[in-house]
Amino acid sequence: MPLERRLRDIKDPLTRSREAGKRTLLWLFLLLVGITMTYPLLWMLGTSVKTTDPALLLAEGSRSSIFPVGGSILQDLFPAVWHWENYRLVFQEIPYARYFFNSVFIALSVTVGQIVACSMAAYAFSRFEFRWRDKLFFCYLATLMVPSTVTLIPTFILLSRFGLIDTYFALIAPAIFSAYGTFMLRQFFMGIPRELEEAAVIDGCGPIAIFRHVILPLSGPALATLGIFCFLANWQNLLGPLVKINSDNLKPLPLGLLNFVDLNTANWPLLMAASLISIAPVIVIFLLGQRFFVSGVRLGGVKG
Amino acid sequence: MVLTMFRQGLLCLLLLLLLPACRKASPPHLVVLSPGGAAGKAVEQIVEEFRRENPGVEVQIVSTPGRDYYVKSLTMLAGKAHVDILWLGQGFGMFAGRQALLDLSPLIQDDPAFSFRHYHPAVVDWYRYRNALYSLPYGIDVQVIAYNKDLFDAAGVAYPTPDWTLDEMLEKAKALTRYQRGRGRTEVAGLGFLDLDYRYDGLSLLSEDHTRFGLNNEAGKAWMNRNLALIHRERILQRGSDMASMDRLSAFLNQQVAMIEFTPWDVQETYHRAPFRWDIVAVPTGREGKRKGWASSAGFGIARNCRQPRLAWALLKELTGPAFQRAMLKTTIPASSALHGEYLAANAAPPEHLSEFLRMLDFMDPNPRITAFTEVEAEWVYWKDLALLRKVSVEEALSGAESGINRILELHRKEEAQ
Amino acid sequence: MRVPAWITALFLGPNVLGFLTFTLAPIVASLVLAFYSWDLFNEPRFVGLDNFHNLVGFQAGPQGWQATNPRFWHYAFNTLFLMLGLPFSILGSLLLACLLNRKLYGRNFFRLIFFLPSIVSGVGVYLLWKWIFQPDFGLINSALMHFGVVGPRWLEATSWAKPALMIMSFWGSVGGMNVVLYLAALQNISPELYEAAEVDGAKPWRKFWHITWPMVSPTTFFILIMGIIHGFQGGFDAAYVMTRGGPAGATTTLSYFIYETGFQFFYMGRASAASWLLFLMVMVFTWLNWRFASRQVHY
Repeated sequence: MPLERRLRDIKDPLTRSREAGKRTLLWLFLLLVGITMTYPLLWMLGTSVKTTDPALLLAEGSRSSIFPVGGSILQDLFPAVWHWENYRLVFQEIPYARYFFNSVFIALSVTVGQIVACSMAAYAFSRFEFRWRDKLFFCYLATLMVPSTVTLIPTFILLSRFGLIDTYFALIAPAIFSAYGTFMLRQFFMGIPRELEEAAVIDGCGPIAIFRHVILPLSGPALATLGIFCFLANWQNLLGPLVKINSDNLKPLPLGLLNFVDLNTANWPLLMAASLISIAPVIVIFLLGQRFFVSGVRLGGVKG
Repeated sequence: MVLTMFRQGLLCLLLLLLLPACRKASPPHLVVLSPGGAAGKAVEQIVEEFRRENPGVEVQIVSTPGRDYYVKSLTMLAGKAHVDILWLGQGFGMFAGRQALLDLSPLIQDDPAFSFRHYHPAVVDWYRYRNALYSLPYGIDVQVIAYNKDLFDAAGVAYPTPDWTLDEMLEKAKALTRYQRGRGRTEVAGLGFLDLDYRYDGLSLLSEDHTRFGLNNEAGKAWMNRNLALIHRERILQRGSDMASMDRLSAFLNQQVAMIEFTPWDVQETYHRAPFRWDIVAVPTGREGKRKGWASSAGFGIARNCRQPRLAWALLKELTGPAFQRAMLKTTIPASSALHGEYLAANAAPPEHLSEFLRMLDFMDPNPRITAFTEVEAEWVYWKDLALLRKVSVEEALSGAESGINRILELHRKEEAQ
Repeated sequence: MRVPAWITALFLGPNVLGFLTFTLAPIVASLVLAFYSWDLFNEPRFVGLDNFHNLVGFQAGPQGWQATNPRFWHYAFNTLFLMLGLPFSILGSLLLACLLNRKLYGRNFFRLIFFLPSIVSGVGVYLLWKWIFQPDFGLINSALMHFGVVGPRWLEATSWAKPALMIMSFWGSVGGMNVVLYLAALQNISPELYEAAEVDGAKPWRKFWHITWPMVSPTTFFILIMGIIHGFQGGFDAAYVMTRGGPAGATTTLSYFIYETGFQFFYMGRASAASWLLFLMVMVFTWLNWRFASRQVHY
């Protein structure tokens, strides 16, 4: 096999140059789409370094105004003078570091908890045979179908009966036992070939050992995916904290950023600067999770 | 690697489940719901003073800025959470009609030190509901017209005068409008309004006693037809989104519209961002020589299930009193007429004629403060949009709105009778 | 696999327990409310099926039977209409994932770039889209103007508002979660399958259709089911921030209707009834999906 492959890899120069041309075209296409996709992000960056000070606005001209006239929306993306001090002001105007810590703590706790709790449940749903299995699973699925608007008040009443309103726990515990995560991992586990487990059973492994030594090591990409999603969802969650948190020092970022919003207006430059800083951890998590998506190294030789 | 991560995760999860064991210290005596932003800062300042004067009283401020304030406060009230004082804006009617608030009259009678002189009498009356007083206002919002002097000069149009009429406004708007027929787009629109307010024609959305829809008549039809002409035929009026949204002001700041409906909370933003000369003027007098403009107010009330009404009343007085009103001078007109001089001094020109806001205090026409107003308004906007987009005829829209709104009002009358 | 009951309990127990208390209990409570009239402040009053009658009932009118609430049907239609973008977004994601799974210069960079729109959310971005769609000066209509085309009024027109929102949500979703899911699924395909196909001289399109598509089908199935569930509940943020459900209800989806009914008009019972109806709709669609699509899924 390796010899054959090597033989195939030796291609004539014409094919190779044609492939290189195709690859460049593809690359340019991706770059073009990518730039379009990032436009709103660039807009956020531009807005975050603009100013609302009238004296500065007069000096710098209308380029520094926040919502420029659409015709020049591309030219006026960035101001004449970049006010980087906005990023410092964010930390002065609100307890940004505290909100940031709360967000990291909550999102990481939920992510870790969800990966553990959901992978175990998903394994049971995908492999064990027990009564009511499919009915119970569909019940999980069904809860995803109820819009959160109407469960807002019952959730609040439930948690306040337990005395859990205004605690980290109220944000972390309910999010761990996620129907979404269970469903997602079940789908992945269903896709893992059973031949491996059968071999393990012959070697005398029980379900716990199979889970630890066969399923988990093969689920890197799946767990990483769930990790990214779960972190992102909890990082951005506004409605949950809005209802469950009262104290300022327990607020996570999305709730804390509302401080830049007034009843009828908002401090756009600072709001955008604060939002941009808050994106950074998500990017870090994404890049960490990415390490699991390296093509064709994991299951090679398993199936065929 | 996956395995070690998993084992560590399991450990963390166990630790986490032990978390609820750590509980908080003693609960606060008073809980205040604050809408954040400028008002939120003022609340913090006043509560800080209150704490100093009343050592031992713990006050918790629950601040939720933006539109989410209502979701938060409603959830807390519906969940019977501990709430004592809450901020109330235009949504006052929906709380009062459902008995969510405490009547302040007994507290006022027992308090010899209290006087109404810090509150505009007409605005206090907005907060009366069935012989009860449910709230006190700290600020008043009225509507005026803001205009772009540069655009007026460029078009050679004279600036509005304080006693201008509706016809004059429309004439000026027509002269200011620059429409490129060939390119099918409006360069400058004279008016950047939601639509031409029915108040300018001396009309009301509901009948005098708030039991029926009030626009399904000849006057209402004429009003609707004029709007249609202004929007589609003459292209003088460029419809913006609702008053609370950002782009209404942005169109003005970007000089796409020459005149907009303007409120006290717009002053600072426009002052900071407008790269042109501008000023404000009272709304024009209507066809019958009468002047009417939208108005609203903001204040604080006490929740019905408040545990310590007296303590809450003491704080409420501060939260609506002169000190609080002073802290809000850059956002809203103070409810006390004694502070109006300070209001004018606190806001630098432009606008040069800031006092036009104060003049409007004599022509205030607030939205009816009835339980069902949000619902009535949504029904009205639905039919109005259909008509102004020419999806249905004016007659159809008005009779549709009439039957929809009358049904809502009747339903609520029945509910309240029960 | 047959396992002793205690092992099942060990694996499933914690999750089911947490799920029952924190997820199922509030849902059941909210469903019970569907049979009550509750204005949030006063005690709920039992009204039987009135709430349902108010939403989907029919009554005798001057022109025969009429829906008691024709607008509910309109909003259900809006919700379904907005879901028409789903297949495009799924196919787009799969295409992107296949491209981004190749050996490509700056692959990780591209993956990040395409992922970014899905993490940039919030009020600011919605307002930016409002400006992009602004009919006189917005980015899109200005661009169309260069080609001599007068663009539509987008968010201000009843017939263009929904397509505008579909474009926006396509932008936000095409490179996000679904690409990550597909990338993870593509890892599970053994390279030997492709090599064998290449030896047989298969063209790229055939390789995609006969290897990639069936091998990622469990993921497609997952994405489709979640897409339908989210689609039925979708449109809230856009309506809340950009359009308030207008013009004339053209962008009001069921989820925004439920919010409006419960939190602005104070009919919590009716809002609960509406969400139960929504729930039934999603349930039927999911079940159909399960019945018919799962046959196509290759485990």
